Amino acid sequence: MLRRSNGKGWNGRSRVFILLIVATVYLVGIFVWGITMNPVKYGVNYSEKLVSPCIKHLFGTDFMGRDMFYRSIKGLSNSIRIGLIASVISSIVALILGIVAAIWGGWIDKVINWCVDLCMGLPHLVLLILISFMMGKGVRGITVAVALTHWPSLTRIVRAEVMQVRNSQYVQAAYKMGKTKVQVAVTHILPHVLPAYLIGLVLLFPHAIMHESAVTFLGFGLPAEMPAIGVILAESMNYIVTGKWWLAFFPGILLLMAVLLFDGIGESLKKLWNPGSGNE
Amino acid sequence: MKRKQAGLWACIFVLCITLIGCGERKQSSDTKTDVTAFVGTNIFEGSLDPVKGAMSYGYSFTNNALLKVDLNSEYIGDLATDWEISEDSLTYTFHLRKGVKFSDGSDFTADDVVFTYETVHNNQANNENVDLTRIASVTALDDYTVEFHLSEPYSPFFDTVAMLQIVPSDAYDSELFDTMPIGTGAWKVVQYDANQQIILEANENYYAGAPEIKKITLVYMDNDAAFAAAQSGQLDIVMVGANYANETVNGMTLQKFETMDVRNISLPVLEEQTQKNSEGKEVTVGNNVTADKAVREALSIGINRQTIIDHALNGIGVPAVHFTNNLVWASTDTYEDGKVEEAKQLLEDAGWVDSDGDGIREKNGQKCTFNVYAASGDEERYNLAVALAENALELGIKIEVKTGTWDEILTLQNTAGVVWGWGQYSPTVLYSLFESELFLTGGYDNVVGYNNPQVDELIHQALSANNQEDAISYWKEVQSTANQDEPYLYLVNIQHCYFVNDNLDISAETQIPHPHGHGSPIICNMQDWTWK
Amino acid sequence: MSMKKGKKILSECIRMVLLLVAVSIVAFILITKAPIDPLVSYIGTNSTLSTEAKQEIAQYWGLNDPLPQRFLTWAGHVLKGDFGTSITYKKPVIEVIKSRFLYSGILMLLAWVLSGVLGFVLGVICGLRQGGIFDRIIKLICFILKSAPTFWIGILVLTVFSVQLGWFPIGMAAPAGKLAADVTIGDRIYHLILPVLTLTVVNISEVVLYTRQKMIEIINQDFILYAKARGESLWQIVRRHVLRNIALPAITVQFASFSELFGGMALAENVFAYPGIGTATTAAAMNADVPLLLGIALFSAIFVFIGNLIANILYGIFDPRTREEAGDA
Repeated sequence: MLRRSNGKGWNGRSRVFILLIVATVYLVGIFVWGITMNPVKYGVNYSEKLVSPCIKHLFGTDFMGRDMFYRSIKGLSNSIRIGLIASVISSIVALILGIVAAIWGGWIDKVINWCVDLCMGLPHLVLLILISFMMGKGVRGITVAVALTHWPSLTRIVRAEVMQVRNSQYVQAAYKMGKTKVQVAVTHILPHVLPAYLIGLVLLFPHAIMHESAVTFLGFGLPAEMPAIGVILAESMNYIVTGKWWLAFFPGILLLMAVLLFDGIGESLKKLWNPGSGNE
Repeated sequence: MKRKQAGLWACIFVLCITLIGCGERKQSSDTKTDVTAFVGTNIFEGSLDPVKGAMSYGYSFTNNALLKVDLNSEYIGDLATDWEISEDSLTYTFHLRKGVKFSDGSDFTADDVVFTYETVHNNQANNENVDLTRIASVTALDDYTVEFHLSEPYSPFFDTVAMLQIVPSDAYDSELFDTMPIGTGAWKVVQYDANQQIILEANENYYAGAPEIKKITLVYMDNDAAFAAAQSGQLDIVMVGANYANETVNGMTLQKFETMDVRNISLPVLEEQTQKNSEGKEVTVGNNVTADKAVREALSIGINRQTIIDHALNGIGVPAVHFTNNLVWASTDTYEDGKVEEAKQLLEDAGWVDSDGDGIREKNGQKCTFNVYAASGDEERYNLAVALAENALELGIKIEVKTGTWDEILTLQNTAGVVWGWGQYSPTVLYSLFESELFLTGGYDNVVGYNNPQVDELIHQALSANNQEDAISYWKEVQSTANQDEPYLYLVNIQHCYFVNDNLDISAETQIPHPHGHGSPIICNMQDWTWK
Repeated sequence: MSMKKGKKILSECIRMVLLLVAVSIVAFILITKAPIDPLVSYIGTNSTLSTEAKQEIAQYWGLNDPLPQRFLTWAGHVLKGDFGTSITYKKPVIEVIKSRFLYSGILMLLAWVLSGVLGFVLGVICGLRQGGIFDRIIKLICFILKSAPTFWIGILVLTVFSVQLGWFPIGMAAPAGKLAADVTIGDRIYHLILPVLTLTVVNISEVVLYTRQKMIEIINQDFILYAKARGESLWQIVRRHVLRNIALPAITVQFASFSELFGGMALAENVFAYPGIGTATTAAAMNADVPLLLGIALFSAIFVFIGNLIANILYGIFDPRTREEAGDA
């Protein structure tokens, strides 16, 4: 039994590994490409308005003659950047709260759990809109909104992980050696939950990116002058009735792929870390 | 369970088929009597109550004013038939039309006029479009004669009279009239669904004869949904932006209408500084780049307006170098633009030189760049600003185009450029644009901080002139003086575009030049529309 | 035993009501902390009200009071059913929410039931035929759908069915220009189909994947093998053992997904210009229509609250062991 799963696992493992590398390269590539891109590439060019997809303009051009391929890449890169900042903030909050809740327990645990429930008490999208609205929209508004709304689920995961080791012998031994809770948390608990945390962080990205573009699409996120998938798709709404399908189709595919791949990376990491669980 | 589902699907399928059938039947226009129109969302955004300034720009359909504007932008009688003005221009006597009824059946008399004017006068704060502060008294001499006394001469008084439509004195209800005003107009509102539709029925008692079309529905939609609805034959008129002008719709033809609606960009004339606003709060105003007159002037002569219009508006619109050109008081000064070399020279003489070779000029370490805001959601204005920015880059001026809601623009308008739309019959708009005292008073007036005592003086002379000729010449002088300082960069007199059902005659010959109204003014002559 | 359960449910209810109060406080703070003048946020920038009327409104809603007091004033009015007047729709907020929730309610209910039923059936079939071609295709589609933005799916549906094929209207809930009294049920259904389709498609993947996973877990258990050995047919097995064990967890998951459902609804409505709560939410936030925004926030919280409450009660009843991690799935 053990041997079989091992053998199979190796095969699967290398496949997962390759997928992981490809996905990472793709996403980092888009991210870096977007950041370093010369704005001229997606600048206006009135001599080529609303060109349908062709070799020169892979995704076509929009009503200002902006190349949709470069604009989409730049937009996705912007989304990834915001998703990155927001997820990291969110996950750090989750890490701290999760560990604190599990180790200290008692009323602290109750309060933190209650905050998690509180955050989930409003529809996620409504909460995002409200926070972005409060912050005056724009890059800052949407980043804060995404950062402040994605920690609850990860907090639960971290808390559950800590619960598992809380009563283990080495933790109890550390207490007996006179270490404080903070010391135990940093030296013993943190390393243990780190893998689960990192996987959770990666799996947070796709949500962050998707929510950013959704809120931007509704008009409460990135401003129209900034390339962003949400902005592009909101603009495309004005043109699909006149048959300019490419304005919505390709940028959406790009976003979809990014979300899929981030999900894929997260799941792959999960499998690599914990081969037994990945029976699917 | 499965069978139930199949049943459900079958039901939906059958429904679809029948409904598609219905949709197709609707397209044949032989039996058409109603009109369904999308004319933008402007009329849904405010109250319909004339007392609160509704429809004051000249396309009211429920109520009439004493005067109205004709095709040559001159004033003719509506509810008044004739009038006299005293020698000193302080007393106006209007003789009212007899036999006019309100849509609730009551008679229109001088009492209604007095009531309307007094209500607005006593609640002036509620009506920012019609300014009655110079009226000293309104009296009914008899049932069909009204006399107005002014406290001082006020040359735009006719404009004011044409803007204020009369409401019935007994039936006026401030809340009801927001959505369903009672008036003497050709139409009455029979159903008002906020942000959905307004359904109008012909007023059979209309004094100039009941309209031939008996029911008109004005719908509220997104622009794209409206266009699609027109494509599927659900709409008879659809307002479209210039970006749709190259499209075609079966059975409909694109019609373009001249407007007096100008798009300009305000350029703050003050150096950056803090000032106190009318509420006593310290605010930052001014912009160090646009404060330099050379920059403003270089833009106004150096850009190519036709190119901008071609790029941003598919070529629809007329280049403008001043405020509108189809009104009697409009400036007739004109100049050529696209003088790139001259503009560059101007900038260089003023010390704006590109020393680091990035294509953008600098002066004393200050880059020649500033922000221009367009209202978010207004793609046309955004396009205009972007096309302008492209054009200005040639001169070495970098314009960063941004978007913001009107709430945001309100806080940015004194420090950055903003794309505005202005267009109305009354020359008082010039007062709003240039009067120095209006700076920082909270609204959208004189946002650039323009302060020219000579212009202020001319404005007051124009307002107080006791005859139209003098007033007009003063207004023209206001413009020629103020425009030398270029506080506003005028770009285009826009044109309104509509796809109109080929069988519907919207009487293009009785359409007045459209005032500002985001596409709504086409309704100005609904009573003349007919099915062919 | 049932006493205990009843107590559990009661305490669960109390806990969640407290949560609802807290959520409304949070929403209130968020909305009122926005950088808008409090008075403007109640009357709009284009208000034509007289100074006295403005003062009256400020007085009525305690707009000049400190935040805690302002919240109590608001809560007091709300408990009496007075949410104020919407700037956007110029009607009492409660009326706007009532009429719009009706539209959205139908949309969400249909999508919820459809995605639940269809998703469950697909999930069961996939689970039974694990690894088969049908399973693989459905699984792939579900993975893709899970990652696809709702509004993009909406746009694609709109492009294909309304623009290219011309089968359905492009938006709204009734034909333009029809008197409200003349709008038929047929009109309503016709306008509902695409939004419902979009929302169903978006929500279905979770149900399918969840059901499929549970199905696989169960199908490999001993009692199923035993039943098979006893000669029960596949359908009998499914009906007798599987449905009972999966249907309730699946329903519970569906109830717990109210939050996602609401978000999807808001996006779908905006794509299809459907006059429900979702479009009202964006319009309210766009126009800084604070009374309406507060009302919607509260009602959406109640909506999620009801979903969670039902889910938690179901958890408590059917699987007391998982109560600790309620909502984790």
